[in-house]
Amino acid sequence: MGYDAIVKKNVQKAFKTIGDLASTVTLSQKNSNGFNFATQVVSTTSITTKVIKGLLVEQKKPIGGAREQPLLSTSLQMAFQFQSADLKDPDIYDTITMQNGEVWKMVPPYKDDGYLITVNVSKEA
Amino acid sequence: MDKYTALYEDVYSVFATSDWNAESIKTFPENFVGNNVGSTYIRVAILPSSNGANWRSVSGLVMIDIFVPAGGGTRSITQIADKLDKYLAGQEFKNTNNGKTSFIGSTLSVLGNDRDNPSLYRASYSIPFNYFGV
Repeated sequence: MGYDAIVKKNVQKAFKTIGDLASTVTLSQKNSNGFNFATQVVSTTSITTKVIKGLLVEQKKPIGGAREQPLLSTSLQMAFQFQSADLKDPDIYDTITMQNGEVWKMVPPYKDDGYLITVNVSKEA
Repeated sequence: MDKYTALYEDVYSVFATSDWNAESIKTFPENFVGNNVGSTYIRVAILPSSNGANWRSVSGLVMIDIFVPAGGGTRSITQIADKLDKYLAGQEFKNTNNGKTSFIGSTLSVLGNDRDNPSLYRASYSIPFNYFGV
């Protein structure tokens, strides 16, 4: 077994080992494939969903409400780590749904080392 | 229809025509994130930044970023700019609001490698507009 496969296997094992420290979320992904200038609507591919495990690594609530800052209710941000194999090509049209039903939108930047991918998410509303 | 909505419809209508689509230049607005957009495309931004002739009017600039592959010279930039001129420069569009948007002459600034993606080379095509509302 090569080093690449060994690391991937150990990342899988780590996600199993941490048990309920990892959150189970539903990943919804769609890609934009154009913009219709007549209707001013972004055309997207159909949504694909799958249930994956993610580790919450950071939660922050910036000061909000002032000019050029978001309202407090929409300023919550979290950073999650997923296995790179579970999350390919994240973009702004992708969301994760937490077990309590809250929907969080993926926002750049994304950091992927090929084994773990760290994404920031913001609350949709 | 309100003036900003009508203005955007006027400008965007240019890029909704079959003639423009036949030019095969991928065209996107601001606040759009695309997958696989390729290495040659344009991004349209409308800046309604000055007062118009009356309170229903506004003037400003349409700024169109032109992206082409880096290292390929400037010919594709000027070709795209000339095509934009064909559809915009000196043109006037009437809208369903009984208003109209007119364009004057354009300018082109070659900016160099794109800051976010240095494999692309970027130029900025600008053309002033006047939106007359009635």
